[in-house]
Amino acid sequence: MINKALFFILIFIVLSCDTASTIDPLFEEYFIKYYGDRGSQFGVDMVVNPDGTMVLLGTYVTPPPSKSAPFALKVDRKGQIIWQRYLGNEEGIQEEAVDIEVVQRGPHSGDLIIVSNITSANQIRLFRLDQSGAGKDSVIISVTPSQRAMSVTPLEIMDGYVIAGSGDPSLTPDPLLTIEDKQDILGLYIDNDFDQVQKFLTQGGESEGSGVRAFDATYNGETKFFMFSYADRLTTDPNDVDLNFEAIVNGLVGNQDAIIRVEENLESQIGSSVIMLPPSRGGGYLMVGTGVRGNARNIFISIFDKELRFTDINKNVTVSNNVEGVAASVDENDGYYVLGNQSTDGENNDIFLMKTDFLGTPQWSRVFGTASRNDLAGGIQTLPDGRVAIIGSIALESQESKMVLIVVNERGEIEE
Amino acid sequence: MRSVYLTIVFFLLLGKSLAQDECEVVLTRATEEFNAGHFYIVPGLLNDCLSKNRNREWQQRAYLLLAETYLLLEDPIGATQSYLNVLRANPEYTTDANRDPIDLVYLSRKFTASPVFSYFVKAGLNTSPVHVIHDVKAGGEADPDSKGNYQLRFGWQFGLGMDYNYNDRVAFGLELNYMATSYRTTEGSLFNSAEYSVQYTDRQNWLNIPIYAKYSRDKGTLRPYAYGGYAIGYLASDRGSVVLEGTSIFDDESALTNFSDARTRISRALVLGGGVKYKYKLNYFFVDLRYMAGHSNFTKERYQNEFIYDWPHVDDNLRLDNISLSFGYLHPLYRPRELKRARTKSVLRKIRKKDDDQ
Repeated sequence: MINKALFFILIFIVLSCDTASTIDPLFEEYFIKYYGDRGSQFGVDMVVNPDGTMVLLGTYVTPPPSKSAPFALKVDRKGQIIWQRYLGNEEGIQEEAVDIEVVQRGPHSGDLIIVSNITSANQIRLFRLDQSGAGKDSVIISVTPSQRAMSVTPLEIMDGYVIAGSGDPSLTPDPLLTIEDKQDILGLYIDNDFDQVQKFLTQGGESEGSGVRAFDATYNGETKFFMFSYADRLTTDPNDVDLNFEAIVNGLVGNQDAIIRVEENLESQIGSSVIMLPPSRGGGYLMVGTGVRGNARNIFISIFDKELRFTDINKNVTVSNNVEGVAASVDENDGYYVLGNQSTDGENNDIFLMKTDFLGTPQWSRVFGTASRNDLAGGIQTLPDGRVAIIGSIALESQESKMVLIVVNERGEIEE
Repeated sequence: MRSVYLTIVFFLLLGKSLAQDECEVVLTRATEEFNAGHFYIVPGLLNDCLSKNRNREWQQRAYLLLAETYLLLEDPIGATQSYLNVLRANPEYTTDANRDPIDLVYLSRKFTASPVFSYFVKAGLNTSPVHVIHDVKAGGEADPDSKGNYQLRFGWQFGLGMDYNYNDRVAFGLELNYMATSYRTTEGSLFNSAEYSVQYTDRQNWLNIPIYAKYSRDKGTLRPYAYGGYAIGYLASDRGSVVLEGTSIFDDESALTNFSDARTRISRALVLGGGVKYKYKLNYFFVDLRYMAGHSNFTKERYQNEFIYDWPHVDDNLRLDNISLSFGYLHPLYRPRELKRARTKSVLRKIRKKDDDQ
């Protein structure tokens, strides 16, 4: 009897041991991982492939004497590096990564398209890589005395790509403008093989303005570009401008067909990112940025339908008065994830994640980072399995920033 | 003042010595009377010295003489009380059939003074080998075969315990130990650079309660023993710190950070050990070597305490073992008592054999 009892006690003891087969490796699904090299690395954008792999884009700043260049890396669904490479990195050039997209159609389907700003020369550069990281093509764009990109978008109807950004204000001087003309909205079309670069949109009439992202779409039966941007337009007072979100309809050639502005009684709306909404949400577009009223900075969201009419949301959506909108992604079943930078002390930021329902009502928010250093959000994606991935940068105690990939569950939590 | 104190002590010792000499004379006389067959006066002779002479060796001889006297006077109660007093004076006294009268030997088989409980204290050093369950990295560098690079560090422990002695060889032990343990891990080649490394040191304070079954030798001056059982531990506190090295750019060290909430507070471990007891008079000194095989995942959370936003370190899933070497002192609580079942069969056989021979 005692021997039997001892035997069962021994079995219990052995089986109660924690091993790799008894502990759920949730850290492979939800995690915080750093990437980089010596110096500082800032994550700015990311794309997700159907197989769950992710390609991350960032800017690498070397230790002093500082030099900046774009770098990209591909990781598996657990965040482990598949490949990593630096782009550009020529002597004497300072360059910052801006945007990365996957080419969905055409002869280069599946390839990665990356846009960067050569800040030392006020030029834009495009790169095309394949999914193994091999460089396929690149071009430096200099169609105006100065230009700056905010995004690149592979076209869905036409062949090629569009770059949205800002250009030299001397392109379209506005004699009525009595305040400083700082920059004009700029839209560029580039063909598949980077042979043709054409300006299709240069907006004047504002002091400050920039294209955020452009798409091709059917408008009144014709293929047009929708340029989502922000700009300040003159009010009736030549000394007063209103900075607002706007959507401009323009063809590859010719003047604008329409301009739709967000009319809000705010001092300014500064756009950061635009995403296309899925067909399950009726299509359309979501634009996210920052609404400024006095010292308060709030996330501002506008949603346009396919005909560029405002729909459910056109407002400040925030739980804090210190958050700037950076990017957004869609949960087709539940709402929107909105990413921002939350100011902690006026000089430093934390990465801010918020979930809203489809009417823009906040459901929850999370903060990542430490209040005493500058942690920056870059981009956000909803993964095929429902997880949410955030790219940005975290400033460590060592005074260097590292690119960070944070993968959380649908509640914004890192499950453990 | 000091000389007065010394004088008082001198005279007290002198008095005690004189009293002991006097009682030795009394015992000698009582023995002579016993040998002469004057049994009735033996108790009266010894009574006074029995109340004032605390020398254990003298008491043992005196009570033995009394026990033999009461046996011959056919006073079993007196004999019983006398033999119990023999065991109180010397718990390890045993009769010898070749030396002692057979009736005394028979009487002795009805008693024991073996300790039911023993108490001990101990202290020593330990080290904590780490079993990595899952290797978790703060960076994206993948190395499927990596299990982390852990270095042993020394800690210390002290504790007290109690043995329940089932018999002379088998006991069940229970302890309460305070243990300070530590481990260190180094992650090299961080951020694609062979010059980057992060070193994390974790320090724990435990209250540990092992319970085990022990088997030990019951004779001799050196008594080896071995035991096995299980231990439950409570993590009282856990603190960690990081040293980040990156060539000549910087060498940074974090403050000692509280990690208690990120740990599994209750641990379980298999306990195996052994040692040697050295008998010194009625007590023991011992040296003990113990191995505790951890059964619990030490890491509960790795991202919730926000340390990851300051330093590129995350905890692996791991189990902590422990190897400890302790030195201690054991005090058995001898309890002279009458046995419920006397071990008298062998003595009876000898008595019958003797009678048959006669």
